[in-house]
Amino acid sequence: MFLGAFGLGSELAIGHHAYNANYVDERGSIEGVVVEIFWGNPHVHYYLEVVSEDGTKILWNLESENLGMMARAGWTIDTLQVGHHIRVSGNLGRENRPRLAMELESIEFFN
Amino acid sequence: MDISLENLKLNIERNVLMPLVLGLLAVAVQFSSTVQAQENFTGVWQLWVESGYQFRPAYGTISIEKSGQSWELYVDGGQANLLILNDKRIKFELDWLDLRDTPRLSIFDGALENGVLLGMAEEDGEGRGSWRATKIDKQTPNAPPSPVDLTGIWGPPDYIGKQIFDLTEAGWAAHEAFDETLDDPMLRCMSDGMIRMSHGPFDVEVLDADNRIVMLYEDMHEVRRVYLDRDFPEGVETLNQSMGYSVGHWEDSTLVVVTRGLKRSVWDAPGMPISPEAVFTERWYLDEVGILHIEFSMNDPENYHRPVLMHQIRTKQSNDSEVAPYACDPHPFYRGLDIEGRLEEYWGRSGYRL
Repeated sequence: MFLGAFGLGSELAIGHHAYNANYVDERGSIEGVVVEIFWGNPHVHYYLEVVSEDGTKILWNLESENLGMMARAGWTIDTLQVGHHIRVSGNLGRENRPRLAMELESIEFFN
Repeated sequence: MDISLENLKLNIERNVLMPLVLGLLAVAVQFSSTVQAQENFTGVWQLWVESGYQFRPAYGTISIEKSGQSWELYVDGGQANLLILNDKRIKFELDWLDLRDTPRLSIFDGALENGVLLGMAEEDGEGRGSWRATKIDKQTPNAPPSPVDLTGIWGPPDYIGKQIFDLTEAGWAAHEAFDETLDDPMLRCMSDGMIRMSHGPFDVEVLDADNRIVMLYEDMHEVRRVYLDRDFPEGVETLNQSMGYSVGHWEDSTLVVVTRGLKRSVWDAPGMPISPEAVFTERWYLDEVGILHIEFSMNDPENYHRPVLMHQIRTKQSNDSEVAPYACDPHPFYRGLDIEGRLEEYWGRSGYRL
């Protein structure tokens, strides 16, 4: 059933926006350090500095939920902070853009 | 054995022609019966799906119509692919958008039993649960007002989520010109408008203020006033407001709201268009267990050959619940375009701002 495929209802808000235009069905996982945070509506964003295999640093745009949905999922502005080293999964951006629809429940903290 | 030509002809008539005639008659009777049975499907039906937009039960409207020698099926005002329609069985494809606005296609297979359509829905071989549809009776017009209490906070809606509608040439042109990663007004924290707001995944708080009903939307924190004591202002068609102008009245215990004066925009993320001539009609009512039903119809001949329909349901939230704040900052939209090197592309589309 689809319910299992979607998991948390926290993806509701992204769906109201241009989710399908920005992301593909393919999922991916990235690891890096949080360097910027946007805590607000329409969606919370985290910006992650990811070091690629050749050593170059790429800034990834992680899109999350609106503030109401974040609160319902138990997240606050302090949950994920600048300097946190994390791994997170989600749907990847279209046309190989450095963008990820982050799944809150997938996050792993390394510090 | 008499093998005369006359007798041979008689034998042919008895042995060949008669069975042929009888066979053709049987086929004709069967065809007539099938046609008659198919006629039983024609009409407007209220659809109930066990697993809807948010995977809870949802409602919609099916219209089955005869067109020449074939039948056509519409769901919520958009054509659906009718696969089978015979004496008892009906099978059709329903295109819809899931929570992420990802296109989906479900197969509805069912039968007509005692005047009710009953069946199962599936997608990619997996079940989506049962569905049923009952014919919609004509509603009693001009029933005397009998207002009910609609106040309170109502949770996010469920509905079918039909994706493709019966667009006109102008409607297709507007839809195809829209780039949802750049042109969507919500990206800039501009109001997403009355129609999109009415079915977005947010709460709505309803207040009664005597001669008006006030609706406070969590989405963008927009305020809507439905005036109960007046008609539209002169020149409403040029009002050009994202929330338009709403007037309402009670028909029995149903609040009927008509909205006009909307600005040219879109009413979903993929870009279904709205013109300033659109007339948006809602019917708000409570069912026997207190679920709020809102049936809407959007009549916009510039963009659609037939009205867009939606039947949503909302559940009342507890008395101690509160509508969440919604201050919107467009920063992440521009920051994202900056990271992706698309800012110049955005500036170049200034003619597409909605």
